[in-house]
Amino acid sequence: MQKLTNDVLLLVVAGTGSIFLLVVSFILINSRSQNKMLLQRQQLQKAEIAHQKELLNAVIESQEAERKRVGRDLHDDVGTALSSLRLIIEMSKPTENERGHKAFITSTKNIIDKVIKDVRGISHNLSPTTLSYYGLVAAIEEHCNIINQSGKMEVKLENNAEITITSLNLSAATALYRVLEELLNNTIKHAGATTTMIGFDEQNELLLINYNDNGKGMVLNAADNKGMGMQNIESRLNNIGANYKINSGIGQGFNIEIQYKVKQMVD
Amino acid sequence: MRSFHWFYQGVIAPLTVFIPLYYAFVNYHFFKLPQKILLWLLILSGVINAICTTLAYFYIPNLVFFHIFSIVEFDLLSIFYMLVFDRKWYKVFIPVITIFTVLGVINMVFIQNGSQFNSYTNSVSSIIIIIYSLLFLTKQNNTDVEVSWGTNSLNWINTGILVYHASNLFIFLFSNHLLKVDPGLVSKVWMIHDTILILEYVLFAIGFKRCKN
Repeated sequence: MQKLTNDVLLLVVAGTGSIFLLVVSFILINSRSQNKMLLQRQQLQKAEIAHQKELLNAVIESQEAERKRVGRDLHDDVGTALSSLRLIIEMSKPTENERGHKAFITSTKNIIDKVIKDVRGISHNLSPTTLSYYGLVAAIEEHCNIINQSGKMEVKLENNAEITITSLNLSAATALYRVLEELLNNTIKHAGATTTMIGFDEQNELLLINYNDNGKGMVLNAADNKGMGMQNIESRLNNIGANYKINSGIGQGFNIEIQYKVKQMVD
Repeated sequence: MRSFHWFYQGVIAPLTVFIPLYYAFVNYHFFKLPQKILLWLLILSGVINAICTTLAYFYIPNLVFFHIFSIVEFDLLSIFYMLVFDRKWYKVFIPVITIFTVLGVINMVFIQNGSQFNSYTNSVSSIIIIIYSLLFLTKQNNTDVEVSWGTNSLNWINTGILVYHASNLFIFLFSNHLLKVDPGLVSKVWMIHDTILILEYVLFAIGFKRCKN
């Protein structure tokens, strides 16, 4: 009888103990995995915040650079021209000599024309009027013409998205213009390319922009070492909710495909 | 002269209910409805245990109180989980509570009446509560991703409930059979039950303490 009692006690203790251990182990594993997931999530969030900070820094730095450039242009071009004008006016003396009078008028006119041209250039850089009046393609075309005329490289433009591109709102058009402007700047500064091709295509409500240059290309995996220009591009595209894909490699040129879903205007 | 078993089961284990009660009263203003329901269950448990210990001291049968408490305990724990889950689960919980209460009363009056331990009620109750608890764990794994496991009060409380009901399921199932084999054995086995009960109260206390978070 005593043996049976002991056996039964042992069985109940073993059964209860086993279930207890099973439950405790299960809870421990569960809590551990939940904490691990939380840690991974926090790390991801940290990385995301750091990336956002980088983008914000890039925007602030580029604004600062833009201000410096405008300041320098005003000082070096407009300021100098106006100083020269002042000097010419100050030096001029009333004369009966018509040739001297004509020379005075010509030189002052030239300087005033230069000031007008410089101010127009600065104003165009700040906010291209073509963009707001004639749209993205016209503004890009104008920019490409300037580059083509400078002889730095040849830029070709192909527009197969007439319908979609007209529904672009001004803020999206400005962002895309700035992105293309930055890409062209990068190509001129760093790629050593001779030809660049910009293509606009449409697919349903999607505006597809394809940018290609035949320059020296870049290493893509250096995500942490993106230059300010590339960070600016990323920031602007993220802001308007555009997707993009960069294809490049050393000696393979540079290609970026941008996809932007154009919001249909509601009547 | 009362044995150590009697003292452990009748005094020490029931008195440990004051550990979670202490933290419950300290953090009461942080409590939401589920924690308040659990607090009522603990108060009721303490009162029933006090009555049963007093009756046992004077050798008066007290099993009927366990029968009643098992039904109320199940109902309160079901309400606790019902409040923790979404509203869409109400249509599952309310019929379960109603059916269990009716069957518990039938068992108390007609099947395992006052002379027997209510092994049927307790076993079924434990199985259903284990299911609640596992469902809660699944829900937490999907939703509770913003804070660490330990900072959530409900995780500790749920662990206490799961550990108690899963570990004691064997004891509830075989209690009446053990009584037939050797009445002295039941007393030893119930000491295991009371030890797990103390652990449950400690886990509840941690849960109530974490309510601040």
